[in-house]
Amino acid sequence: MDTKLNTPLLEVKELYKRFSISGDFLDQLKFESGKIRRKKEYVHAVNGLNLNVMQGESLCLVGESGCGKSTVARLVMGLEKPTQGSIHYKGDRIDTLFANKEIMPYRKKMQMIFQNPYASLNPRMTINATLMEPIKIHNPTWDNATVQDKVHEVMLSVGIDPTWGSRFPHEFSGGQRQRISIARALAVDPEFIVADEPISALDVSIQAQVLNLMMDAQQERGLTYLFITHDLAVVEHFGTRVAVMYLGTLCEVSTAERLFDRPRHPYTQALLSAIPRLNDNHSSYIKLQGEVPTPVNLPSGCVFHGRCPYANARCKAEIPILTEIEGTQVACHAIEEGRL
Amino acid sequence: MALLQVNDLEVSFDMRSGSVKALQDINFSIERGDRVGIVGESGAGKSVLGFSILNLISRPGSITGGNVLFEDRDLANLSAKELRDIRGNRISMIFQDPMMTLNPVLTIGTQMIECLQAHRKINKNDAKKIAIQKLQQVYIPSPETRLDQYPHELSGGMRQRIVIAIGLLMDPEIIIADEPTTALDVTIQAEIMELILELCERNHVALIMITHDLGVISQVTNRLFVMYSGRIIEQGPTKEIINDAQHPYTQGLINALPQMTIRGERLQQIPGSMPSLNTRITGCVFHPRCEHAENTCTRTHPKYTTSGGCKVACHMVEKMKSQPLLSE
Repeated sequence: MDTKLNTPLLEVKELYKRFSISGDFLDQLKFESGKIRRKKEYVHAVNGLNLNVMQGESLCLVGESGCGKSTVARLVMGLEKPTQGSIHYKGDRIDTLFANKEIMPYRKKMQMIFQNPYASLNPRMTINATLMEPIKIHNPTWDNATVQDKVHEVMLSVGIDPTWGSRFPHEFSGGQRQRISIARALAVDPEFIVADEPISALDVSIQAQVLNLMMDAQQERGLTYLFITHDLAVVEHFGTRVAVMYLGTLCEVSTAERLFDRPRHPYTQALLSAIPRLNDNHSSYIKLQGEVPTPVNLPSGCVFHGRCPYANARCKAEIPILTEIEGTQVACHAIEEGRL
Repeated sequence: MALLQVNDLEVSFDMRSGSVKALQDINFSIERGDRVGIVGESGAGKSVLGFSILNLISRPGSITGGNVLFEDRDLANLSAKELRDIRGNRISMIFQDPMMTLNPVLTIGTQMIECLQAHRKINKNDAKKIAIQKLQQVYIPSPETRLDQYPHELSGGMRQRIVIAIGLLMDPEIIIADEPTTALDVTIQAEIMELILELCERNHVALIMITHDLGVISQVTNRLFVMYSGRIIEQGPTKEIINDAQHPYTQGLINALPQMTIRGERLQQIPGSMPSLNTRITGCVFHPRCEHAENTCTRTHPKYTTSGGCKVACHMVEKMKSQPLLSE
């Protein structure tokens, strides 16, 4: 945003996604005060999200469970269709594409790494087969030898011995499996990778291995990451920019340094204060009152107002918009009014 | 007399391929009011240790050596009835996933009253009063109505607080918490940690906290055991170990944390991964991954050396101190 040269790689505009939880037609019929009514209920997973991902950065999307961060990842990848709003990749709208032929070129550029390497690798396919599949699909003209060479190359790049290609996923440890899923994503030479909690299922010493691998791959290939996580310590280390999400909306977007040095939004402040750190004497963290409201009945106004110590009447009525204040984008009336 | 004393504990699992030792040479004692942390990666044997204290190891596993003494009584020699008297009453356990621990088809009240009535002769109304009082202790709003609710009606943080309240019902002397916050979000984790800490201090309960999260451990416990491949490889005061770890594995574990590195730099990683318990490693169990390893490490398993307030099982402690690696 500093210069015009920096056009966003991915643009998400006014994105909404709601999921129906009221079942089919007959389940929706409710008997109320003598009449039969049709009642529909929705989970409002994403509510008016605006987000830009710049070329070459690692944007971390953080938030607690149920805030809609994985839904954003799936929407971006086209695994879900948005209820409203649009998603653009290099200026082209991609959320309306339907035919396989139209989506394929974007699939090649955008790849995803999933959370659980035990579930995301097909247990009945050898590593070779797993890695060859995407290469063959996206490069139908390649002959077998070229495909094999490519498989060999990606396996080397993630530190898996290429001679293990005939093995099955169960013969590998969790960390190795996650390397293989990274290799699968890298196999088609993507530009953009969405990683949905890629290290949450791994042990600490293995987490470091996988994070290092992802950082190396970024440097070598000029990748852009959308990194979804709830682990703030990882974000602080890995992210160039951070977007904090609460109940389907963004409350703060900033560079990693600025966000951790000076969090602005009251929710971000509470979230950062809760990170258990070595060597601090259980310093007082900011305790939030109450619990996250259900995304079925969203609170009016600012979604955070029920738990916010700075909330006033305006917060209850009016939805705050992300505005840039001292280099940080924050959605908070209190900051805008100078009360905080 | 220590409250809980573990001597040379060894736990084995009989597998088709032969017997596998999940725990070896475990020695420690715990006094009232101690807060002990057990850290290690998955497969290190932390949970097995937690289970074996309550003699909850089930087939094909069994305690094959050593003993666990609770107030000088060997838990392995007690009858099932005597054990039941200790479990949940004198020593209680908090498990990782509150949804798995609570029975989904019984109300919170039923589950709490059931526990009280199993341990004492008490009528339902009195039991209810105690249940409400315990729910208040863990800061659950409107506890009376919670008693009639089912677990699915409550949020994750709420459920974990209920599990803690059930753990506290009988005013135990020891609480074993097995990854009590791993399934929870950070803000809720901070609340639960503070709650556990406060309850332990107020009731003078000994806490054994099992987790893989060094951050959590450093805030809650005052003593720390680091486990690797079924052994305690380093133990001592939490502060001392966090600030100045002696064992190369502990050092690696701490240095691998993102907060220990400059932003954007490569993280320090421990090469390889923990060996499966099937693979027999002669000498120090950590030597295949250790950058300090020398010939002695491959031959004999190290005995504990005392260094400050810590006990470390490593051949190289003295040497590492006198001549640190160039990379450091």
